[in-house]
Amino acid sequence: MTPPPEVRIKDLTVVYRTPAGELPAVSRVDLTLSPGTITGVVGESGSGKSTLALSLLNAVQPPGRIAGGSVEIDGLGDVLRLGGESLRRTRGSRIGYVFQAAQNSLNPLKTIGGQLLDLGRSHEVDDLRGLVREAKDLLARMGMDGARVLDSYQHELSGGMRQRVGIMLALVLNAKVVVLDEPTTALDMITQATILRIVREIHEERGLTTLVITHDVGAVAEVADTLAVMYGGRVVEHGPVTDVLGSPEHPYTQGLIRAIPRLTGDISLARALPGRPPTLGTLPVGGCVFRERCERRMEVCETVEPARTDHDGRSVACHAAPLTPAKHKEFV
Amino acid sequence: MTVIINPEGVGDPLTGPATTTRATLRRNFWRGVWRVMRRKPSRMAGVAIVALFALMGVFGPLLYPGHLPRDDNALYAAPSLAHPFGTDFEGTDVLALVVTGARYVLLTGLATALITVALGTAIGLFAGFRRGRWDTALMRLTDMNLAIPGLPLLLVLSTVWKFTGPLEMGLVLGLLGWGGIARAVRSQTLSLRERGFIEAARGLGLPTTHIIGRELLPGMAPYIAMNMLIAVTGAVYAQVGLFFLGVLPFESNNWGVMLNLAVFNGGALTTPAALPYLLAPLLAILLLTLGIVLIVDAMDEIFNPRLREE
Repeated sequence: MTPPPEVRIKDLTVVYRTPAGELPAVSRVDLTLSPGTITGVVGESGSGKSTLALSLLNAVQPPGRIAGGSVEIDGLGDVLRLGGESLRRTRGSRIGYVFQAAQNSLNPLKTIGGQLLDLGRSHEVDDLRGLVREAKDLLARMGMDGARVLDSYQHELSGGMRQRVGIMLALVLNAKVVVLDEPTTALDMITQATILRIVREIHEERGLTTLVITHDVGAVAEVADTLAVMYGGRVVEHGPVTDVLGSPEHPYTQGLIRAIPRLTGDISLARALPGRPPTLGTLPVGGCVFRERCERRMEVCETVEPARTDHDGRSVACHAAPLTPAKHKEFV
Repeated sequence: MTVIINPEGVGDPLTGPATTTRATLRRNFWRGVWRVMRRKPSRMAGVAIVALFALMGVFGPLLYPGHLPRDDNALYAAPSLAHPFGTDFEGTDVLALVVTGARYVLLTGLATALITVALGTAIGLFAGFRRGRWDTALMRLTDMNLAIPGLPLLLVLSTVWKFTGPLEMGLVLGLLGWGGIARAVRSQTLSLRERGFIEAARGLGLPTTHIIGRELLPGMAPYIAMNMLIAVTGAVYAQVGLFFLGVLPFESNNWGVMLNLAVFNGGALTTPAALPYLLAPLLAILLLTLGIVLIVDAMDEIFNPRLREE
């Protein structure tokens, strides 16, 4: 088995063309996915999570444009420099992608098997029988009857089954880098837990490097090894998941965790973050992007964008953070 | 679109021997079509009518001698057993005229439908998928095509160009008629291309030609098939109208020629003698339209796997 590849996102900037000019959705993001780990990315809607994930495939659609930076994957080089045929071949066979709302990402007019064969032919798989066997194994691995699923149309499968089929299609060509965009959205709690367990298990079995995009902090706590918190197109905090959730250093991460209602105890203890998430248009141009909602705002935040500071394998971008690491012991 | 699985499960890697029988039953496209057709008797009637006309077009002229026999003693004869729809001004059997005339009419209709649908679909798909500059240019072209009044242009064209055969006629009608389909296919493409499964296909590295041809196009298949059938009737009306107005040379047997001769030579509107001569081609057009409309009803169910199954 080939070792899991490392993914290095460096200085990545993605802009969207709007009537008000080109606005950055992802702004100078540095993020390294260590080989064989699951990295979670959390953030509010519009924080640039999905755009970041699409950049890994170099699949940002117009009016979006990757304005700078690089995404280097071991054995592939810089994905952003690929184009045309080589890019197409990379997608699916080297980088597996499970799309947001994977329940809708199957063709309603074709059987799953038909779509699997399409995928195989597009990537010039000679041994289609082997591909089908592989698919059946994967489906069985995820607790489904492979023969039946391959013979079904998407309307004959439940939401959780479709999600698993999406994961199967992303893995069946033996991709080593897997991106899951909101893998548990719109699924019930039990199915969510099952999907997360499957992601975890398959990740370990196949030696993958996985990126999970979500806005569900609970889900990410369950599945990820490291966690990146995004706000306003920037990675504001990044580190091992237990550290980031156990003792968050960035005021935004602290606010996010405070906003989670506890299963036990008083629900009213959960406090929403003040203010509203920025849109591309309302994002502050200079200074810290979070300052308007921040309780520790200082003068320097108005003018200087906080630099990333690293310590103990984690990093945070906040002027106030290194001084006052708040402990949140009550969070498991 | 179909996944046809042969009984032994040899040719297709999808199924093992255990599931083949059921899979064969469920996944055969034509079996599904047959099932959809059987659901309503009206659809079967439509199929029967269209099949009848198709046979007429293919074999009709073979049933009769090259020059239809005349009978000077039976000009404008009333309907009888020998002549179910009477005879024309030369004593030729009207039924024979309708049957032998079907080939010209249907060939034109078919050629028109093929050209209309092929051009309209290609232009609509391309414009909708590419968007941007190509879209703008192609849609202005479509606007022009839609704005040109068809019949007057045909009248003008017919003065300078004698359409010599059904295929030429179909070509001209087809080139005039693709605008509506292009417009509609483009809007469908614009809507479908934003759907999740298209994004997923792109993300899984399927080639663009595959995405357009195998993912987008089948979604519009019922609409396109429906338009194709309706284009046949449109072409039949247009050419019969042209022949009826007498702007084209009467070189061969055609329903429009019959209508023209019945009205302007036979005085069918004033005397009852030529009435069967007028009504027979009209009845043929009516029946053909009816057959097509009855089949169109089934299109959505045929192409939607959810409705196709039991």
